[in-house]
Amino acid sequence: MAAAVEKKEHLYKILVIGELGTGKTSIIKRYVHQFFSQHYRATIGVDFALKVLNWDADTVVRLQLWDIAGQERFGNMTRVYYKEAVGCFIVFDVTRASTFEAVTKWKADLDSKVTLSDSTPVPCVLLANKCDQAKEGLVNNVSQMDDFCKEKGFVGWFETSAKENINIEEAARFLVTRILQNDEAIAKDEADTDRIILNGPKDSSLTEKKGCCS
Amino acid sequence: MADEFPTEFDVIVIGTGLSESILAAAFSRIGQKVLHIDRNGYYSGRWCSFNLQAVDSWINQTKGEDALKATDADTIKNLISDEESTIELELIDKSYSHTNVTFNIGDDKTDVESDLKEKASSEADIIESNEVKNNDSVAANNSSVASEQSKNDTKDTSQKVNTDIKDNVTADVKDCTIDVKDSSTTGVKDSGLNSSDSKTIGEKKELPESVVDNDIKKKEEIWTKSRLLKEWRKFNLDLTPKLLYCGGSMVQLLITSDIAKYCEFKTVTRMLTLLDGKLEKVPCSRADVFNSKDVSMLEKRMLMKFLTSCAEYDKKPTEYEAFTDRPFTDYLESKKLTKNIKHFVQHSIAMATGETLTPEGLAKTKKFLHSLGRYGNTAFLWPLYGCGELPQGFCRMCAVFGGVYCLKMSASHLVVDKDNKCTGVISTDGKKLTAKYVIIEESSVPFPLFNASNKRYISRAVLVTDKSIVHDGSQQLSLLQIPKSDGRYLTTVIELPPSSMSSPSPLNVVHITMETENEDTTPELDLQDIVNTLFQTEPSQDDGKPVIMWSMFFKREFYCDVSVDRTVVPENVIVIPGPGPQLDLDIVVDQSRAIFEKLMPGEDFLPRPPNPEDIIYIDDAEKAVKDESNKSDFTESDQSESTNKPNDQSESDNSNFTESIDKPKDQSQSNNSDTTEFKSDQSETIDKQNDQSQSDNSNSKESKSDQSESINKPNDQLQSDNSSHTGSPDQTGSTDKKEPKTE
Repeated sequence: MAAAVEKKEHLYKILVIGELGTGKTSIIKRYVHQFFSQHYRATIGVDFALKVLNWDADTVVRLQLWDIAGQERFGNMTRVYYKEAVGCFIVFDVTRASTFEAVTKWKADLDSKVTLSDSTPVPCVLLANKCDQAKEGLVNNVSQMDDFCKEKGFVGWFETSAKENINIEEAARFLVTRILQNDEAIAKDEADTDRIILNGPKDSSLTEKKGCCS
Repeated sequence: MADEFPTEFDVIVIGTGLSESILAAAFSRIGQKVLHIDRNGYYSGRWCSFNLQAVDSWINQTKGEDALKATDADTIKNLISDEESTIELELIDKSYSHTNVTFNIGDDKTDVESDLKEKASSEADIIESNEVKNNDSVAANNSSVASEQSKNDTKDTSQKVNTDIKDNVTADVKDCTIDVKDSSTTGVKDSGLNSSDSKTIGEKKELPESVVDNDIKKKEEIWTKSRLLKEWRKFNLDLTPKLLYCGGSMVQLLITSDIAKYCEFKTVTRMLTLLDGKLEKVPCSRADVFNSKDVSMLEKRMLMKFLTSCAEYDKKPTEYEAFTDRPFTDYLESKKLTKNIKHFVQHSIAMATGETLTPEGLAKTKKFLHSLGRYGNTAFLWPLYGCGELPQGFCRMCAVFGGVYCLKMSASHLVVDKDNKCTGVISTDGKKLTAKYVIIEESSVPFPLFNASNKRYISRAVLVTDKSIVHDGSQQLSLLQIPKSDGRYLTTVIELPPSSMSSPSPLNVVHITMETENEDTTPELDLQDIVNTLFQTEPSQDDGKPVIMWSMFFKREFYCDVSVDRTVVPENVIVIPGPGPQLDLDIVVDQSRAIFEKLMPGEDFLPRPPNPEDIIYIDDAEKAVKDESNKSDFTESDQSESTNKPNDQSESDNSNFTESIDKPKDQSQSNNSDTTEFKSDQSETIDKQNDQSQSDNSNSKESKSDQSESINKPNDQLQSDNSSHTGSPDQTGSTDKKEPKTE
């Protein structure tokens, strides 16, 4: 029998945070579902959107993009939201400078609530969304934005437009590349096989096999 | 953007403890508009698991620091009508007392450094050179051998140093070694110094293995206050540690509601008991019983026979009829069990006190046995990262279904109309928020409204120790129940290994919980006997017992009964008890379910939501598009309006939902049409398709059939995502794993 090359499959949790109305949901929908609407409402009933990437010939990457549940919106995120995330997008709206000012707050909240397993910060990409519209504030100055990202610990930034489908794929690809690098770098000595994930009675036979994580 | 904070709700829940969070999620899940607020800046309230830094701020908070302020009378007067009155609520949790945190390890790095600086004036050169070498070796070696080598270096090269200083230097060496783990900064300032030293290191690397092992052990033993503080993030210290019966209602609820996906668990791997002053492992499963060396053959048969009879005791009521009103201990006596077996059954399997009646003891024994074997050879689970995770799981579920969350905000007053009905609350930021029901945790209700005779206390100790109480090198999660001398209460000891994510390796966290009626005694005194039995109290005398490095003691009051004075508190204000003295969480679930079913008769209690990976749905917001001009203000901003009539639609959607599962063909058709529709990218195109979109809507909300039975009221607002699913067959893949894996 021909040796079938086993594909490596990665499942990554990515957070999408930022102020209200900056277009987080739009970005996720554009990226995952290839469509854009002016009229999203609260993201109700859904934890995350899933995007499957055939990264290369032998790697499949499954991205869980966790939107802040529609109305967990006053910046009070639960730990279960942050927990075990390996990447993050912080989104601001280039047309509203106030949303950029909040970026620092979101980054600090993120870093205070979650780190990678080796205690380094979760790689975070800054998205300057709605770049198809008139910009306000710092985002007009590329070198200043670069400095800002460096200072605040962002791994990079992109001008994006969910509406015009600008740079979203690129930003995601950039972040996933980072995550894959981290994944290789971080020793997997934490293989802890006796964590239990509760399953329904029907799945109880699977519990033993699947009951491990990270 | 928080300016359009909604002010009308169906339910306002005050407090994010476990019961409140379960109820918030349950209401939100059936489409009720929920506001969930907490006076604290963190979730889980009295169920919280704190890291070492958060413990400090919590202690300040129990003293009333940084508390929210009540809205002033003038503001309130403007908010309420003449016929309305208010009841003031508590904004500070006053239920804690005798709180005391102690570091029992002294060799603080900063102390040593300042000592060194003082001495430096006379012998600066020697100390400097030692420090340099130590740091250098640490940086160069970056391994566990550094400590011992540096000490050797000290001896080799600086014999002139007097003994006093040598001690200090050694202490400093320890600290350097510790730093290696977290950062490389220690070595930075001295990099590239003293090549002869690195040579020595090179040579010493060839030390016999046994010596190296010894060094590793030594290094692991060195814990200082600064190192503990540096690892603050790795601690998750529970205010209210509780276990879950594997077969209990909490586990059941987590599974049926799918909130289990937010949590992971460890099993309690070891049941211990204190028998004649010695810690013994309790044999509780068939395998344990037969493997136990401490139990004689006769006792094994006796125990197995007894446990088997307990497992179906309710089928033979005649067996225990005579004991219905008598203590469980009497029943055990009548069974002619040996002393050991009686002890095991009473304290570790039935968790019975001297006062527990026979039927209850039997029921608890049965529950224990029923819980064995589901997740391995154990009856109990412990939530990874602590019990504070569980309320947050429910909060996330509530938020996902539209619940509004606000921390560091509470209600300072209830608003009551002339018919003694609560119409809402005055928030601490001075707004009137209306609701049909207000659910409020007991500690927010002013004391005079309770019956004080129901007041009891819980004495707590949280200890960070260097090794397990029964240390065998493996990571064991242990449960130990110790009867009080008067036999009325059991004291619970839960020992958590580092793998439970409660502490950095190799430290253990020990939780001691004791119910008491005595307000005035300190928890230290209440728990003194147990602490002395299990731990080393004099660090200088190594008797093999674990050393307590850090401890927190506190006492908390609770009410066995939270029935309030209903002449004052309206019926539609539901008061929830705080965490009680129970070992497990099932009573919390049962109470919450009862409250929910009373308020929402006929509604499902936390039905399973659709799996995000399985839902295929279209954006029914598109239906609303009436060729409006582009507005930049899209996304979440209009959500408050969108959620105001969830119930109307969920009825009809429900039927469509079921249908669609029966007609898979329809679904695939609609999928196709959707795909073409939305790939076009243009909102105008979508508008033209409006009609079709509407008709397809019924069929395109879909979830895999294995979930269908539990989804009774798919919330109508499961819209908004469109499907690109034609191209992603993987979406039907494994649904068990929710958490990202690194592997």
